[in-house]
Amino acid sequence: MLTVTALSCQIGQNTLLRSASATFPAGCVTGLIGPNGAGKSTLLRIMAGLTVPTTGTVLVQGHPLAALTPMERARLLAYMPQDIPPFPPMPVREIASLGRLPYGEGASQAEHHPAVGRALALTGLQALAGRAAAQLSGGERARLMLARALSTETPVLLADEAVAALDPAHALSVMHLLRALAAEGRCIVLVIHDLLLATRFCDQLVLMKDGETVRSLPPSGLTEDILQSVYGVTTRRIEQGWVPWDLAKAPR
Amino acid sequence: MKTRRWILNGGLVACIIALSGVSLLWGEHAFSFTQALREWLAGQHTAEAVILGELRLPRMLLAIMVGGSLGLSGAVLQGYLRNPLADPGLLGVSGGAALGAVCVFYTGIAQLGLAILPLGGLAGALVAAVLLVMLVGRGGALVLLLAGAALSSFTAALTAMVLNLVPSPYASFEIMRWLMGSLTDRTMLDVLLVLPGVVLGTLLMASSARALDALTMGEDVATTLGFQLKGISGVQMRIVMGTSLAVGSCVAVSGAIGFVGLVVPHLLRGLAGHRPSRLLLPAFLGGATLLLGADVVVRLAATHKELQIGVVTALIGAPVFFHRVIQFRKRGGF
Amino acid sequence: MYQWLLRLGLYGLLCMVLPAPVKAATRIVSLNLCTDQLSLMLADLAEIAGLSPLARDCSGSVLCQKAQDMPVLAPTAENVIGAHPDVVLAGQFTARVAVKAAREIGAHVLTLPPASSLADIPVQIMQVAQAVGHPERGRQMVEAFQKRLAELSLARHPDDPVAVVYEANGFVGGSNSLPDDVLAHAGLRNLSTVAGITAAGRVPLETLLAQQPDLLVRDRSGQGYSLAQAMLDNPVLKQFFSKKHVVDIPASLWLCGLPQTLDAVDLLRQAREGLIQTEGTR
Repeated sequence: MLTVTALSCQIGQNTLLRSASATFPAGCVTGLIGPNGAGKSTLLRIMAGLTVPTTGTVLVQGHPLAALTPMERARLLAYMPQDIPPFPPMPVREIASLGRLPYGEGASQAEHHPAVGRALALTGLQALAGRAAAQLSGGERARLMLARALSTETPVLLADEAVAALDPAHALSVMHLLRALAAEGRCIVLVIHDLLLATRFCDQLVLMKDGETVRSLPPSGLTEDILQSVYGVTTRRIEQGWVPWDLAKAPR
Repeated sequence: MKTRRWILNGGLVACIIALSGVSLLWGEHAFSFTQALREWLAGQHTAEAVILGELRLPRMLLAIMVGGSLGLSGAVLQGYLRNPLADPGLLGVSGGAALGAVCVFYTGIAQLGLAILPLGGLAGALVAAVLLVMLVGRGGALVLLLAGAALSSFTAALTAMVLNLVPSPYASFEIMRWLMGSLTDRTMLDVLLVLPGVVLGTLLMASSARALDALTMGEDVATTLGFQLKGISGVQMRIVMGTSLAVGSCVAVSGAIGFVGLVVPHLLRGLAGHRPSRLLLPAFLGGATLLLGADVVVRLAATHKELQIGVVTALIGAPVFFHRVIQFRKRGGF
Repeated sequence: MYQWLLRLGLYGLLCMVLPAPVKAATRIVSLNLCTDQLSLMLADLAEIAGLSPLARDCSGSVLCQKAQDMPVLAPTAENVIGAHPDVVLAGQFTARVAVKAAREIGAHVLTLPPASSLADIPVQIMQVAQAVGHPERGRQMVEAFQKRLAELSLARHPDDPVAVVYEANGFVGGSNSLPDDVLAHAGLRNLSTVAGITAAGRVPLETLLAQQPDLLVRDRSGQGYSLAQAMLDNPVLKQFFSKKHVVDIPASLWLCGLPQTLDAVDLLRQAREGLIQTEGTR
C-alpha cells in the first residue's frame, strides 16, 4: 500500500538517492537492507515526508504523499528515527501519549487513551509507565520510541534501526511484535542491518546499493552472490537465514 | 497530576491578585482607597484619584503584562530550542527595541511627547524582528540561535556607539538608567502601547504549545506528528513573531528587565511536570508574580536613589539559578 | 474610556489657561537643581513642600547647607502629586510624567530651560519669583545681580588670554553655554570658539594642548573619587600648565544660572590678573 516510483534526491552537490522504486505491501514486514550510504535512511525519510524528493512520487494507500496535509500524513505514517533524543524527565506514559498529538486530543485525554495502554503493553513498558523517561536504559528508550509510534495507531510504520540498541531478547520480542502488527494488516518498513533477523522475520527484502534499489525479493530468494554484490561480504547460509561470514576481498 | 496543576496555577493567580492589591493599596502615600476609587471612577482629578488610577494602576498592569510576557517567552524559547539557557533576549529583538529607544533619545525627538520614546522602541523591535526573519529564512533552530546571537551583538554594538556619541554626560546617564529597566512613572499610555503586542504575541506563542510537546522527541518526529516547523505558517515563525511582538513591546516601554524569562521557567518546570505545553500558563503567571513582587520591593526600598527593578529580579533570580545548577549536578539531570 | 480621557485633557488645558487662584499658603515643589536653588532664595521657606534630592548634594548645589533642613522628594509622579502642590517648578527635560500629572491635578507648572548665558539669569529669577508669589524679592535680586555684573564685567579684547574649561570625563565647555559667557565677561576667550572646536563633548588632550591655551579652568563636580574626576588631575595637564595657569571653579557655581555664578566671574578675573602679571599682557 506504499509505493515509491523513480525517486531521486539531490541536495546541493550531494546525491543522496539516485533511483528508487519499490512496493511495500500492507500486511507485510519489509526490510530495507544494504550497506551504509546506500540511501536507506534517505528513502525512509522521503516516505515519512521529512525530505522532499527531487523527482519521483510516493503513493500512500493510492494517494500521493505530497497531496496530504501534515495532519493526514501524521495519521497514516508513524516514523521512528535512528537517533533517539534524550527525553525530558516526563513519565513514560506521557511520552508514549505524545503519539496521540495528531488527533488533537487534550493532554490528559490523550494520556488515558486506550491506544497508549495497548502500546505500552505491546512494548512491555507497563511496569515502567510512571517512571521518569530520563532514567531509562538505552533499550528501554528504544522501546519507548516504538510505543510512541504505536500509540498513533497508523496503518504504516517506518522504523530506522529499531532493534540496533536492543539485547537479543528484546530485539527478538520487538521483531515478533512487528510481525504481529503486520498480521493485523499494517505495512511495516524497517531499515535493518542484522541480516539474520532480517531474513528470519521479514516477508520481503528490498536491497539497496549506491542510491539505488537493486531488487525486491522474499528472503527465500536470496543467494550468496546477491548478498556479495550488495554488501561486499561472503555469507554463510544457516538453517533459517543468512549470516555474514567474512569480507569478500581480503583486507589490504 | 491534574489537581497539582490546578493548585499551581491557582496559587500563582492568588499571588498575582494579592500582589496587585498591595500595589494599588500601598505606596509612598497613604490615602483612603475607597474614596480615591470613587473619585477616580467619577472622573475627578484629586491627587489621590490620579495617583490610584493613573500611576498605580498602570504600573500594576504593566508589571503583569511585562512579567507575564517575559516568563512566557522564556518558557517557549527554552522549549523550542531545547536549551535551558534560552531567554527572551536571545533573539536580538529586545536589543533592537533598546536601540530604537536610545536613538530616539539621542536625536532629541523624545522631547516631543511622552509616547515618542516607547514608539521608537517598538519601531526598533519590529525592524529587528524583520531582520531576524529574513536572516533565518528556512533555517531551523540552530540557524535561529545563531541569527539571534548575531543580531543581539549587532544591536548591542550600535547601542554602545550611540551612547558613545551622546554629547551630554547627563543624557547618556539617563539612557543607561532607562536601559536597565524600570516601571516607575509609567502611565496608561504605556499600557495602551504595550497591549496589542502583548496580546497578539501571547496568542501566537500559546498556539505553539502542542508543537513544543512534539519537539521533545526531536524535529524529525515532530514533523511526522503533523507539525509544520518551517515556513510562513510554521511553528518557528509563530514563535519568532510571538516573542518578538510581546518582548519587543515590553522592552520598548519598560527597558530591558533581565532574569525573568530565564529563571521563571526553571523555577516552575518541576512543579508543572516537565511537559512543555503545561509550562506555558504557569510561566506567564510566574513571570507576572515575580515582576509584581520585585516592583513592590523597589517601592519598599525607595530611598532617594531608585533601586532598579532589574537589580531586584537579578538578586532574586541568580541565587535560584545557582540552586538549580547544584540540583542538576547532583541528580545528573533535571 | 476615551470620553474620560478627553475630559481629562480639556480639564488640564483649562487649568493651564486660567490663572491659578492665589492661596494663602502656597505649596511649592521643585524638581530640578536650578529651580531648587532659586526657590530657596526667593520663596518663603515654610511654603516649600519638597526639593529634589540634588539640592543637598554639595558637589552640585551652592545652597546645599540651606537645603539640609528642607524636605526632599524623590521626583516620582506619585511623590509629587502626593505632596498636593500648588506650584511645581521643573527643568525642561526632567520628570516629565510628574510634570504632566501635576498639571492634571491643577498645579501651576513652570518649566525652565537651562541657562545658557548670564543674561538668562535675571529672566529666570523673575519667572521663579513670580511663580512663588514674591516678585518684589525677584526685583531686588535682579537689581543686585545687574549691579554686581556691571562691576565685574570686563570689556572684550581680541587678544584676551585664551582659557579652556575642562570638565569631568574630558568634556570641554563649548560655545553658547553659561561657562562660555562667564569666561567672556571675565575677559577671557574660550578655546572652543577660538580653535573652532565644534565637536560636542570630549576633545582629546592632544588637540587641547596643541592649541596652547593660556589658562586651564578645571570644573570640579564630583564627590568622592571617580575616573571622570581623575582626568582633571592628569599629569600631562600638570606638566603643561604651571600653578599660575590653573584655576579650579566649583561646578556648583555654573551648573545653574544663579546670582552666585558671578562668583565664578570674580574667580576668573582674579586668575586673569595673576596670569597677566606673570606673563605680561599678550
